[in-house]
Amino acid sequence: MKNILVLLLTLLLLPAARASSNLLENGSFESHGDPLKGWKFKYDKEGESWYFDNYKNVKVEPRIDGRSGVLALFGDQNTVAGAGQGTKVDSFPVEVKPGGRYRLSLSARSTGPGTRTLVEGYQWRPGVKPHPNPDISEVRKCFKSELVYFGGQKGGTFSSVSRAWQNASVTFPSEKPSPLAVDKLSKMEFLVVHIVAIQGGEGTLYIDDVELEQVEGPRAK
Amino acid sequence: MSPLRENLDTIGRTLVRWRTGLIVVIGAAAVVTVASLSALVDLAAHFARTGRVAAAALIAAITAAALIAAFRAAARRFSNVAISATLERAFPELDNRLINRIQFEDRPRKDALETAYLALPPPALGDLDLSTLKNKRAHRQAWLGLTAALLLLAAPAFWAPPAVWANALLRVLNPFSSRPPTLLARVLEVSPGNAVRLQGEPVLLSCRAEGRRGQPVSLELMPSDGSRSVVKLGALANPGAEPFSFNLDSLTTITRYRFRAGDDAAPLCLLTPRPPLAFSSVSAAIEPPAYTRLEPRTVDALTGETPVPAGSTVRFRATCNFPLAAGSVSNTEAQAQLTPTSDPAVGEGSTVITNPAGLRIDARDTDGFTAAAPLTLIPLLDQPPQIQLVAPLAPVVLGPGSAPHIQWLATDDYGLGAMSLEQVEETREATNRTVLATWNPAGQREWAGDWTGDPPPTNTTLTLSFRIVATDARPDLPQTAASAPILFQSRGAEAALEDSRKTDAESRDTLDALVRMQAENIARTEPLAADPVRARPAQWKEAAESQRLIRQTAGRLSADPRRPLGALKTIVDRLWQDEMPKAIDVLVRIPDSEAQAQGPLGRQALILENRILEALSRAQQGMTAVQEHREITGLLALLDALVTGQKQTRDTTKTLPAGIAAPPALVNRQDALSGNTVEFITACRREAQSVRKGDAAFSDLLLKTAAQAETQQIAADMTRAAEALESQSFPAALVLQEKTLAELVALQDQLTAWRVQDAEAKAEELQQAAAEAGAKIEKLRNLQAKIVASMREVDTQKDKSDKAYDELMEEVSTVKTNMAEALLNIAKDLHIFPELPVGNDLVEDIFQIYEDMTQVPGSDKAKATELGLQKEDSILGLLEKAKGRMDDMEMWLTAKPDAVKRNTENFDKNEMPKIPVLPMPSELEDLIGDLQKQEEAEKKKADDSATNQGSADMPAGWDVAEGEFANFSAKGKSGNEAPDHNEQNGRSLVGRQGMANGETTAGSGKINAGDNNIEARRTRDSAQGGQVQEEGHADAKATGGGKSSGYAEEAGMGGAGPRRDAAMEGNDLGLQAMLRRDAESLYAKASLMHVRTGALEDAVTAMRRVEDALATGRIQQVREFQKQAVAALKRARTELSSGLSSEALPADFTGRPTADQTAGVTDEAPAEYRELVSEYFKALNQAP
Repeated sequence: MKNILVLLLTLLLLPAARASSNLLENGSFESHGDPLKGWKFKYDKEGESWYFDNYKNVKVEPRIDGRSGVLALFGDQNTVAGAGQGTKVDSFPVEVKPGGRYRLSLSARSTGPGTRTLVEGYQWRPGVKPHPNPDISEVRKCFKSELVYFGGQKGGTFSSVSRAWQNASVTFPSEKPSPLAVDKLSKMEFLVVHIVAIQGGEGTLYIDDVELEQVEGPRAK
Repeated sequence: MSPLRENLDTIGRTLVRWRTGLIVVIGAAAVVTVASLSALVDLAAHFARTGRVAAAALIAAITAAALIAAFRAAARRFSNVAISATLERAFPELDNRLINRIQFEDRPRKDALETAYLALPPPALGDLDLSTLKNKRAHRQAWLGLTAALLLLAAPAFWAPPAVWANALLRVLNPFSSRPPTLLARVLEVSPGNAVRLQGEPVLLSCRAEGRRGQPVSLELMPSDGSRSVVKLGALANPGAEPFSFNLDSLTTITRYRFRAGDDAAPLCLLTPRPPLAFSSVSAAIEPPAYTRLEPRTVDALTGETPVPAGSTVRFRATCNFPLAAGSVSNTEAQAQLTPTSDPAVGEGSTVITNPAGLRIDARDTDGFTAAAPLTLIPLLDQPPQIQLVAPLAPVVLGPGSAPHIQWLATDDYGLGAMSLEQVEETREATNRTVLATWNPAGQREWAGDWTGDPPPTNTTLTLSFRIVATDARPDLPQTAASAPILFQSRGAEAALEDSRKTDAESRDTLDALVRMQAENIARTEPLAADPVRARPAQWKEAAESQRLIRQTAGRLSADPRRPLGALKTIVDRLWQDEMPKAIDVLVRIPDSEAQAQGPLGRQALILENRILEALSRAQQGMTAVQEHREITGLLALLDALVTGQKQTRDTTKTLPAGIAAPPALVNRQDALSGNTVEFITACRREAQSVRKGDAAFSDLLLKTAAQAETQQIAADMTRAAEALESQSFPAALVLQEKTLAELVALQDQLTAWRVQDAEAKAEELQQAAAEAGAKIEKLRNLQAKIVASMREVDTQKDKSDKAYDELMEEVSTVKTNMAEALLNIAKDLHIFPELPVGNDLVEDIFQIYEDMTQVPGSDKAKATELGLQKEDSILGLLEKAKGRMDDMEMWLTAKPDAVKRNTENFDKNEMPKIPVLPMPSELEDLIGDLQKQEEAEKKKADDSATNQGSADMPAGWDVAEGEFANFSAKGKSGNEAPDHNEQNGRSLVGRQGMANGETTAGSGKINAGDNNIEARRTRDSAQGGQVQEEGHADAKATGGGKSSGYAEEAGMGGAGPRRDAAMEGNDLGLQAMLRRDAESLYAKASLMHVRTGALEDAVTAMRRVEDALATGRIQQVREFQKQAVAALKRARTELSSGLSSEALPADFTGRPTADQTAGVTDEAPAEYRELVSEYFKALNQAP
């Protein structure tokens, strides 16, 4: 009986807990039928010519390293090294309320490229009437968080990624943001998880279990 | 009792019996029905205990109710009146006669009528059909119900075994029995039950079931984010247990499941998904062995490559994303078990690592999942000690009375344990090593050794071989290193001087050959340069090869350790380093150059070759003086050695106790001094003849000195002193020694007086020459000032369309030509920038992104380095060709402050094409972050030179940082660094405060913090049309022309700004110059005084190279040249203290070309690559 009660309680609470944790729709890349659901990987708008072929380098591996649904960002030497543009994905915008703090966590491994993984804050682009499901082209960037660092050095413009799976996270904004940061954060209405495979050598950056959670502040509807 | 009443009682009892029977039948039917239904439910659903008790209670309740009702019905008694009423109602023909009679009879007082009525006969009850009183319909229905109930009770027995049905009935009737339910099928086993599995993993759900054939087996799935579904797995086919399974493709959410077999259902199970086990971090706290004295450090063991000294104790700390059960770090040589700490997701363990290669970490969490990763620790081997000889660098011939003197530097990566000096004697049978001295460096990592031995016997040819042995402080396996043999040869002074003369002759021949070869090569180059079109590549190649040979020969001559060139070495060194490689480079490039470039290059090669010839000729002319100077210096050094030697023998004689034999070494030394004195007299006479033509007075002085030495019988007295020592007559020997010493000192004073006189005369000549040169330089400087003033006058013209502008430009052009001829450089900065075509294209929609950037730890203290950037014609081509605006790529702020000083070679602005004005987009993105930290001193050192190398457009991407290119597409961002303290050209947004010389395209913006030290100067920009809306007012200084609506609280400069010369005082360059001047002064004084300078000359040369490297930004060469200077100074000290030794009398020609000795000097590499080539050669030289 006691077990049944525990089970019932768990079953009641778990969905609620899940619903309130990951703000991303498909952070595990396991959405049936469309494993890249909730992620932008085709860039074909004006000003994005460097990324017209980006989609060719983005896929989801159904099964690798004992994991299922793993985002794979491939980059050859020209794409990731030198002054290459990198291979990237952006999550669909997630509506937030200004004043919150958030944590982005994910697992990664790489056979060559490093990464710049961060969260970007967006606001409505001037002239766009607010609506519930904005496209990324309808919003405008105003903030970039610190990077997620997988290596030992917690600083720099890139993070190297080891050949073994590693889990890392970043919480933003900092507890005492600068006045410049406060100004930009006050305008932030959406969050986008931005993952780029860049620097390092030719190879594939594997990403899994991307979670964006709110850890403080007012919540959006 | 009357018969009537008896009949009525009988009828009453009959009615009671009928009613009781009816209740019993209904009750029985109800009980049987409830029992049957309960048994049926139990058969289908298998009551739990509660259900069984409830069913049994219901049956018992119905039974009890029926019995109570039956008893109550049976116990009831009807009165005669009630029975009469019932009969009257059932039989109306009685016409109330029966009830009336019973009521009248019951009255105690009867009236007459009642009496009369009672007299009548009672109604005949016997004729009545009493069965009419029975409720036949109810009885029939009751029995029918009972029959149906019984049928219900019996029916299941027809499709289920009677035992099964009976078991169900008994389970219902006796709920407290342990009788199990009877099932048609049964789920025996379920796998995996309640389990945690990896998210996205497939999960195999299986069960084993048994039961009646045909019973279905199914699986219920209830995902938390979806609806319930049932999967039919099949039916039981055999009597025994059968397996059934289902593969869940991907477990993505919490899922409940239950197997069913027939009428049996397994308990509900729960599958919980979770991410795989992964390492958040793995750190290694490395504690090196004590003898290494390395600080413990903690590093990230998953990325980078961290060296670990052998024998280190390493404590690993792994942080995972789930609680750990166990873990280990291991390779083939070591293993550390990781045990969970108070934080269950963290495991720790330590071990001693001898070799960290191949280490990997394995971890298992409490759910049984595992993770593994290779660690990136690499071995750091303990290297054996290294011994670097400071002096001598080559085998040395020891002059008379000279002792071997060795200086060295021993180093070890962790510490030196012992040091010794051995004398090595090779015989046919064996090699004997005798330890002459030992030292205890006490674990120091660097130890400078200095040892002086006893002078060997003179006038005998003897080779002494030594070696230095160093052992490190490693306690378990100490490592030993030994130097190469250090050789000293003992030769007579006359023989040594003869060698020197021979060397001089060879050097003179070599220098003559060099002059001849250079003249021939000029003759070879001239016709080629005059008509480059007809010149064949092979001819240019021949000229280049000849030039290369000249350089090689000059290098060998300059690097000869006997220093045959003396002070002329500086001239040849300079040629070797500068003009000679440039000449080769130009000659090599000519055949591959475009036709129109070959002419100028050929002329350039000729200029360089002529410069080389002129310098070599100068050296050739100075060779005689140098050789004379050196011979005189050698002669005077010999006299100095005689004085020193005689002083030493006298002092030793004074210490000898009477009555013992004098040491043979002392006797020999005194005897050798006699022989050396004879040689000195001979040398004086020979030198007198040699210098007679140039300096008759000195020739006479030498003859006088020789005669005086002979007259005073100094050599004979020395021989007598030796004999007295041998015969133990020490007082007599001492008298003779004192006499000869006094006579030698007198001779020395005589020659020293000449030295001083000669030096003063030469110094005066030099001062006069320096004053004349200074006056010439001053004239050139004044000319330069005038030209720059003219340039500024032109540049400050606001209206550049004025006709006067063209006239002035012509004038300036002429001035510029004159300036080039005067070998002056034009001022940089403002004068390098091209005319900027004004776009006046303002972008109103500018949005700013703030980036939260973590600066790389320690980058604020990074030392500034320098980078040379030569101009390339391709830059101009690209600048001109820009057509459309290029898209940008991924951009971010830099995490390291700019620590590179970029020195650019700028274009003559007349070379620059017209810069296209690209159309601006409708919106522009700015990127800004908080200013990074950087030490002020390094920041200043990293300020770039102003540049006019630029591009019209660029695919902006990667770090936002100030680079070596100006850009005219307004793609610059505010960034997170203050602008360099120099002029900035191009187009941009508003950004940060700095010295700008370009145009803003921003319609609005905020001036953020930047360079606060705006120099007072004036740019050439004229005011442009347009207005820039400032977002909040910043206290910034006005620079450049700006938009016509601009304003500032501090006005810009209104006239020509002051000159900004580099501050010499206190900087590295100034300090180095001061050191070099001191060394040069010392060298000059010593040289003028004919005092041997040893390697002081090399020290001066190295210092000058340091200065050049500092001035031209070759920072990496500075340290090496400084090391060379220090080594040369040490060598000079050793040489000066070891008598007549290595300076003039090296044992053999072992000199190497300068290129081998000086990694910092490069061969034929363009200036901007010399640093890299230098590093390459340095690496080669350091290779084992």
